Amino acid sequence: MTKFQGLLEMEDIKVATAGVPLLADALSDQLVALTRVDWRPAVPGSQAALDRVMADVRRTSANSLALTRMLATGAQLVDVRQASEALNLETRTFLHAGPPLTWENASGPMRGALIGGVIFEGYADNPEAAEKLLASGGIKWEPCHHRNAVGPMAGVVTPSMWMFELLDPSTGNHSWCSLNEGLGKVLRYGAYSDDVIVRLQWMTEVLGPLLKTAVKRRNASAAGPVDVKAILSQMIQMGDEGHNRNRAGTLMLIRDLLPDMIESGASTTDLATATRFIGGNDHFFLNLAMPACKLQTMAARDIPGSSVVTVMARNGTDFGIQVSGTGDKWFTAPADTPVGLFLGSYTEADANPDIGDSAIAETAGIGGFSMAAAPAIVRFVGGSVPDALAATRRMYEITVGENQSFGIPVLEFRGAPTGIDVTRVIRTGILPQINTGMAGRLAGIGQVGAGLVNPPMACFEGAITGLAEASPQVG
Amino acid sequence: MGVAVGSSLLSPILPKKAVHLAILGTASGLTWLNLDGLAVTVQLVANRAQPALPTSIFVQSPADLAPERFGLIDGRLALGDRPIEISRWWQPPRVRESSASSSSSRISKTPNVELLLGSGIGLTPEGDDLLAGWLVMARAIGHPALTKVQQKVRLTAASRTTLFSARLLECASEGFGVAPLVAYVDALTSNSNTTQANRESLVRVGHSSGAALAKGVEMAFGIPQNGSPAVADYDKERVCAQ
Amino acid sequence: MSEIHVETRSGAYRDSVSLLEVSRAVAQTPGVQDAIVAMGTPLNLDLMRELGFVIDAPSANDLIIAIRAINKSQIEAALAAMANEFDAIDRRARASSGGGEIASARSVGRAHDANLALISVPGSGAFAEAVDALESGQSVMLFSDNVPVWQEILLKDLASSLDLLVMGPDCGTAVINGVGLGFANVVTPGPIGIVAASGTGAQHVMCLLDQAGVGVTNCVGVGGRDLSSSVQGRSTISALNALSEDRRTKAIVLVSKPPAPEVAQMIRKHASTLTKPVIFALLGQGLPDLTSATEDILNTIGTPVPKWKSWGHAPLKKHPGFLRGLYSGGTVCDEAMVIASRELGPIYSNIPLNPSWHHDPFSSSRENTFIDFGDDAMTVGRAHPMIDPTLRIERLRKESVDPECGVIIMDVVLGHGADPNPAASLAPAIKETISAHGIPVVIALIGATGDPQGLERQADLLSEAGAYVTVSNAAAIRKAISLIELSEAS
Repeated sequence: MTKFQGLLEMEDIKVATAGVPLLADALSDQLVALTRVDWRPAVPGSQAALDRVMADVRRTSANSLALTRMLATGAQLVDVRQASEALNLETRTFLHAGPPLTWENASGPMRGALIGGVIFEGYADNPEAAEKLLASGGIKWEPCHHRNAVGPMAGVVTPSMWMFELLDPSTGNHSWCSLNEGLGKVLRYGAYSDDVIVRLQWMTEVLGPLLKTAVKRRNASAAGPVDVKAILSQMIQMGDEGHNRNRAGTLMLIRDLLPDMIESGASTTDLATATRFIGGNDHFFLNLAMPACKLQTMAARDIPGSSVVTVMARNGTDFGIQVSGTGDKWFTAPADTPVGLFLGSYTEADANPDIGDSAIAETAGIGGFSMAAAPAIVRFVGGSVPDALAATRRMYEITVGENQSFGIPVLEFRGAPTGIDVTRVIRTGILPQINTGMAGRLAGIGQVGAGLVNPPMACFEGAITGLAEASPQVG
Repeated sequence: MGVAVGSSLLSPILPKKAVHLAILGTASGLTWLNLDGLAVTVQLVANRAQPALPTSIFVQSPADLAPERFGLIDGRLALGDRPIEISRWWQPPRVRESSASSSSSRISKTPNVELLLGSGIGLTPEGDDLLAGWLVMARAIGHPALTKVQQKVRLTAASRTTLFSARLLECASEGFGVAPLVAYVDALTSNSNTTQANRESLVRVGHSSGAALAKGVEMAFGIPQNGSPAVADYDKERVCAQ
Repeated sequence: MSEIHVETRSGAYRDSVSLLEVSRAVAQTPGVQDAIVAMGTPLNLDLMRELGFVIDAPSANDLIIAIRAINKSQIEAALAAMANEFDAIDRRARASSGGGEIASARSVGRAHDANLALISVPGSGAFAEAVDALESGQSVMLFSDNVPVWQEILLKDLASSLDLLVMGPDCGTAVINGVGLGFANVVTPGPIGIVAASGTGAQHVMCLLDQAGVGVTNCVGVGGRDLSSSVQGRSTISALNALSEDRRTKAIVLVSKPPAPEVAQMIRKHASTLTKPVIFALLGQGLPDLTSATEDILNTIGTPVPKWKSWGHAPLKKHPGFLRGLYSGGTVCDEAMVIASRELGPIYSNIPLNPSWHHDPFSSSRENTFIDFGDDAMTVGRAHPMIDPTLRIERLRKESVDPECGVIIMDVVLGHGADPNPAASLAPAIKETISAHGIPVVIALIGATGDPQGLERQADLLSEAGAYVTVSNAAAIRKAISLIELSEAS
């Protein structure tokens, strides 16, 4: 018996209505169980592309496969290595957050971080010389994502920097992220003063090698590699969301690594400085959460016909997304500026447009998508607890499925909304919700606040067009 | 005659071989019956003026409400010469159970069942409506006095109020009610911005029923009831026990 | 003696508390001796091995289901219990608002409980919504029109592959297991199933059957274009199959304008393979009208044909002038024109039987003129005439003062979705037409006793205003024709 035949005999038919209210009224008059859908037309100008993608017979199974692969990923911390070795990062080649960009387009914090990178590597002695070098094409750069890495804020990676290296056992994929410098005036916010450089050098000479030894010892032990995904799972249930709040994650990381750090043979001074450094930075775990999320979304790449988003990233000027069915193609548009609360006496005028690869958290279903798990963060971004719940609930409208590994307690442990579907964004008008730190517009100021931001709809309009072109002709 | 839709609450308890049928009354789109001691109401299916009751069987045409049409055929409720065929069951609205209990700034009152039950006139006396409103909200928020009040009502309802009203009170203590009542309770417990509009819709129900239902809801939720003459009596010491 | 079921689901993570609930549900299924549903961690694997289960190459990321029961059917029952438990957990989570309000779904696919989607959004947005519905396991009633043929074909093929059905596009009437969808009448469920490429046509047949005491449990709309050569009757075939499997259905009626010839042939051939009789009510020139088709159905199932009800009195004198038809339903307008043109010659219309008889509905009538007020051009920016009688009343008044107008015929359609009291809106204008201008008004009243408007009450109101009212459109048009005094010249 077909499902439709079953419907003809069904005692409790349940109807979803979209469109004319009169038809729904006629059903409720008959006391039929009814859901009145709040339908609206698709984003103007995108209907033809949307229809073509909806007509693509590969789409449903492709998206289903994308979700299955994402849910099956793991993330283990397997090494800490310098970028030159781990990413084959050549001399005078840098990586940065977000989609590709030029010096002319780069915003204040990004320029500052690039300048700081040049000075740190010793390619120039002072900021003016560094700027000249950068402006004249003396340094090459490309997105972190092009080498399967991610970087928070400006996300600048230079060859000497030490990177966390993560492994996904389900696919054998690797992903990388630099070590988090801390808060305030740091390279990723575009600061390049002497203390920034000195700190970077200490991280390169002391912290990186120490962590490497500890990680290697840990891998060889009975406990095996640090399970970053498992820490993420627990974090979500401890009031963190993996983007703007990582405190519990940082503490769990220290708990996992401290014994091996102690037995690594480092001096007591170095050990004390390192643990104080890590412990004093609530966002240290962000640089592990991000590559773990990158591993999750990487697994869903390159599935023909899939409309699932695999990358969301910003370079301080543009917002870029990548979609599974269109491979490595970037769909970009000018980034919005976050809206929220400001530190000290900063105001909107001081904020830089959205920046960083940290939106990979939302791409993987945590961060802003799991806001309902982190009531503490909501007030910091100027919202109320019901807003946080509503934000997460809205995200279920535009995602393909749910990730039971990231269960959200207040929603009866419902899995985090996972697998952003471009077609659903275009149909419902609901944009992915990101909650993020705000960088100062001028290089080196540091963080000026935290708030909420969405990708521009134009990215998704570009994506639906791209998907349509990659799908069979219809009509 | 067409077919009938029945409230799912009737499904387990509608007598299969009834012995005694009494038509208790009929008025504006509603007929109420006593079927072997069970209060059953019969309403029109597409009648926006009278909200659907959790105690009802819904029929298609106004002619089917006429008291003289009802009878028993082989122990089954019948209209004219045909037993009523219930072709579909309707799930009555039920309040969402919420952990939002009354805040410390609000004091929830427990009603004095003795004084309220059966007090007032009409098919559902005003005192009963107040109790029903209280019970539905109490069910929604898990009020500690719910079981006590529910038991009190069960014990004394038969002697103090109409069969129909007693049945509605039973449904209310399980969280079932007419749509505007359930909508108001849900709006309050979820702190919705449509609460005022939901209250206005509820107050429009019946003649005074809606207003009394609303007051009962608010008593359970802990919203102070000041100044309204109809409620003043119920707010007095002897009516409400803390 | 026992049966073992071991299954590994890769990457299907669930938390341990949920899995405990699920394991318990499975273990408590009658006939189950041992059961574990858990992630493949070393601890759980040990437990499984102790119970004698052999697991192949497990990993901690796999969800492992291990059941031992008395026999295969107990295993099936246990697996069903497991699926139910997972469902219940998911449903609870989906329903959870965390204490806040739950905003409405913005797409039909997110109405998780629904098994049918009724889509009436503008045609340009209908396809995407309908695909979503089908992919979520919902059959679709597509009320929307202006949906391109290629989309209709894609939707129907998708539906077919998912064992679902698309009713439409441009489907305004359906009855599914007694529930009326769109413009539908309230009829008693019974042994007839209707497959309809015409909404008002289906309504008329349903109502006549109801008058004869014969019930209709299901009326499946297939959309006006389903029987064209491009769509090839896709939904019609599915609907015929479904109705022939339905145990309550004893006979099936297909109501439609004549399909493309090769499609008609294919459908007839398919119908002959079914176990239930299929009666073809195909309308058009030289073919039986809906009332005859209904009588045919009654004969097939052995029910006596009743005298079709009428109210009021027709004037005894014939009245000079032309016939004017003001219709809200396209199919019944068509039917009336087919019958009328045989006696009266050309019938001018906005939906003419013959292209040379085309007439602009907004200009004054010419000789015998029938207007379909439900046609697309007449419903731009306004509600359908079944809901809003304004345009017809206006036209009625206009016709009453036209010296060439001899008799007026109208349809009044009742049921869900239609005007709650059309007789009340129309009666004053009708009364005036009859008493002040002496023009007879004949009304085809398409409705059932159980309709919200009340058939009898509507008939009384209309006949009190002086109209001759009958439940059969064919009878109405014949009555109207008989009232026209034919001049020598024609």
